[in-house]
Amino acid sequence: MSVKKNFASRLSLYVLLISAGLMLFVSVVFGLFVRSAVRKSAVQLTQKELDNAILDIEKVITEVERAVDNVDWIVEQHRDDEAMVCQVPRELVSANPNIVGSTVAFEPGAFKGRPYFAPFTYVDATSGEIRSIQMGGADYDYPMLDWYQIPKLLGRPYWSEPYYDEGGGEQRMSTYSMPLKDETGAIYGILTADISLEWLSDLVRSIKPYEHSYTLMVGRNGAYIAHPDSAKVLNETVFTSALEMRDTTAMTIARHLLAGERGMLRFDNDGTDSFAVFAPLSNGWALALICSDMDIFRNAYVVNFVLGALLLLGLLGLFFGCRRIVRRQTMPIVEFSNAALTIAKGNFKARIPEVSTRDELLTLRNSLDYMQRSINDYIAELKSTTASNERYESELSIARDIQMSMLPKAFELKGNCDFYAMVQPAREVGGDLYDFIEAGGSLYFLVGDVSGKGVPAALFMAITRAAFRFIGALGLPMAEVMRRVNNCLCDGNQNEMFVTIFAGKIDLKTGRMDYCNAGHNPILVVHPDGKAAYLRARPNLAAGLFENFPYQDETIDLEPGTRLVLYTDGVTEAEQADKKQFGEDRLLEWAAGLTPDASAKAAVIDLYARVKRFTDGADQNDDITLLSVLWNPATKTIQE
Amino acid sequence: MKRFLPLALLLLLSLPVCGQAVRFLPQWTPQTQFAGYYVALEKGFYEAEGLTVEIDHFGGSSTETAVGKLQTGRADIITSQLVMAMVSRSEGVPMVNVLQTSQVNGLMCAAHFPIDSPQSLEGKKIGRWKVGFADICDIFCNKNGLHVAWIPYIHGINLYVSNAVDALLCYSYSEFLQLQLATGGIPAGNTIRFAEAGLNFPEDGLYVTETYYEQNRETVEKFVRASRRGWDYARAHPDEALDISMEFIRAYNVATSRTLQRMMLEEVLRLQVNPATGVADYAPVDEARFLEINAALLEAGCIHHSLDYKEMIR
Repeated sequence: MSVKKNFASRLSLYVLLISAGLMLFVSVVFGLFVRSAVRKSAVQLTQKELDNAILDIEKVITEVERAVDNVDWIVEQHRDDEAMVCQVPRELVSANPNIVGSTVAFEPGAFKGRPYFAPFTYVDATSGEIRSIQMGGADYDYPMLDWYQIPKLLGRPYWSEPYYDEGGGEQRMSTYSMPLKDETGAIYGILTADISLEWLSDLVRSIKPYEHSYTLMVGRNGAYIAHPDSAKVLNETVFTSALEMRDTTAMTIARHLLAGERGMLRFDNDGTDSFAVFAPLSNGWALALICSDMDIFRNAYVVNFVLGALLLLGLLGLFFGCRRIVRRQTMPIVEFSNAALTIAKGNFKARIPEVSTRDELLTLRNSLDYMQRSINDYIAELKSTTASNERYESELSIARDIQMSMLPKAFELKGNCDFYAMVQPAREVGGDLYDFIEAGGSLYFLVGDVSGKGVPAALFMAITRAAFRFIGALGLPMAEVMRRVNNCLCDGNQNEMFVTIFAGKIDLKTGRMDYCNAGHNPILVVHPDGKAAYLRARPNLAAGLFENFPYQDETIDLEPGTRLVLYTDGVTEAEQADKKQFGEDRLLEWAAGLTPDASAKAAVIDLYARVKRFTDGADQNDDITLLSVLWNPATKTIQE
Repeated sequence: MKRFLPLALLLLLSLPVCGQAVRFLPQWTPQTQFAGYYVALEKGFYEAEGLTVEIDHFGGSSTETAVGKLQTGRADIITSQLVMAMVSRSEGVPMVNVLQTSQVNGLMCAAHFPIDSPQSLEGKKIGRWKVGFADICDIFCNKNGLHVAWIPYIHGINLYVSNAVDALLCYSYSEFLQLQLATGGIPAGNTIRFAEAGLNFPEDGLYVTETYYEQNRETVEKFVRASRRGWDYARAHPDEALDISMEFIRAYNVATSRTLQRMMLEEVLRLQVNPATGVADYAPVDEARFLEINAALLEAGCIHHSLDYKEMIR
């Protein structure tokens, strides 16, 4: 199931992501802390290893220096005694296993005027025997050699830079040289002790706190005294590869080493992150122990891997466990959803599942229950209302039939007069009316509009129509008819309803029309030449308001072909959806465009269609009544 | 004797059945300063000339000079520096120059302090080789009125590194490179190059005694021809020349590195380029320059009589 569609999965995923983020943050912080601690521990460990090695080396150095110091006085006191002088190096070699060679080398001429005097005792590397020879000569001008010249120039003891003993022990050696000074402080010779450095390689190689760590040892001239790559020993310096590779960090470490400093530096060792701890020896040499990060963090990497795997497993467990719990906890919601769906489908009596908890789910369950009861109550009420409405609508329908039946439907040609009318109530029943009757050789007609709408207006319309039909049949002048109708309507009109009326009486022989307006819209007259205009008439008051209102006749002679169009305000005030009204101008425009020989019915239907087109489906807000009279039309027809 | 055993074996293997035997002695321990001769031997250029060449070398602690061995007949042909050879000739060693390989002087002085002017060296303890090579310094001191305490030494840079001296004479292709590798770099302001101080006197060349030259002129010409060929080959194939040189160097257990020897070869080849022509043409020193050096040596008291150009430069 897609995570997007499954709440439990989505929520679990969110929890997973947040947990993973938090764990990652904690892991990173923890990792950095552990890394720092491991590095610190590794540095301490390596420094301790280095210090131990230095102690071992210093022990040898000190022993040799002390041994030489101890015999210094013998030479000083017996410097003219050849036997005693020659005995000194022999004693040094035989009494000190670390010393493999020794000499007391005199300044040229300083010993009994001899150009060279340097009794040398050494351990034969092959036989192990102690041998003594005299050194010095044209081929071995020792006063020019480092072991003699440098301490002499410095005026203090000096450990020579390691050298390869050619023709002797074929081994790496170093010589400790101590200047011999007379009473005046003048140097008359150099007392030396040679030591083999072969044991240094073993010692340095044994300093290996980590699998790939290694130790190197350098002299003051930067040359390697010990190095994992034995080919570099005495052949290369700490700067050789650094200069070739232009490695500034290695250069920095090398400079620290040669400066006799103690410390630690991190650097890139041929692409491997590493660090070097270094410390000097008392004789000017220096040791450096190099460890790679890979080595010191190996265990941390394993722990990190295991921890990472456990965290991953934990996160997976968290995800699935969380999803299971969320699913279980949200199961009532699913049931509520199903119940709501059942209710929505019409089963209003569907059972809302029970919940055992007292939390939001119970609230939701109660809300659903309340909704269900409300719906059922509403439906019951709706049924009752619907039944009542149906009954009311039925009655209204009957009332409409009755009202419509009051209005004449047969439009028989009266002399030269073609006429037609229609009414379209806005509701079931309306307050508009039209009527016509023929009496005394004249055609009486009217269009009216009762105030208000609905049933009250319909009843008032029925009264108006009955009064007109009764009074009109008496053949009275138009104003009298209107006066009597008005009085009739005023009688008992407690609701103060009224009706606007335009009524007319056409002499069917002469075409003279008497008319009387009771507050109605001006009617439209379309002359035979097609020109249309609103008929000027006194406005007067609407009928039903003031008893005995003095209505007066007005008269117009209709020319043959004259068309009258009567209407209620439902026409001019017909609205579009945006409240824009049809208006009198648009009505006048319609009349001007009307076909001259159109029948009264055609004109009415055309106008109604025009109004409907204008409103364009908007609700009809008022009753619409149209009545058209065409006097002495060219074509005589009988309209149904 | 143990130190000569590898070389002896090497020479025994390379000995041809017949040919004119030549004992050749470069003036120092094995290093790429002499790469052209190693290449000539290894590539068979000497053999092609009908020569059987034996290359001898000094050990690290020897205080003898090549001139001494030439003079006593223990070497037939040696390398030496022009100025040193002129001094030796003035002292009675009848040596003649048969090939001038170096065209530019490589002598330097490296100090523990800035050398702003020659006067910076006044009164300082300066190491110089016991066996010579530094007569130019005497000319330099004479020209500048300097008085320095010369500390003679055999070889190496430990005098400098141990601070036993204030400064050290060194060659740009040798000790100066060792100092660079031992210290990580000597500041340029702490050095002075004599070539840039008006003393650009050519250095290495091949020398024989007058007698040997007269009696073995053809052999000498063959040796010079094959040696030039060896240097040309080394210039064209420096890596191979380095490989060949390292075999000689290892045979003598010289404490050095391939890196140092590569740097040395590059510098030696650079010093062989004639500034006048821009190529390594092995041009002999011309008479005017010879007389200039002669005059300078006379003035500095290094020699006590003038030398004849035509007698010495062949």
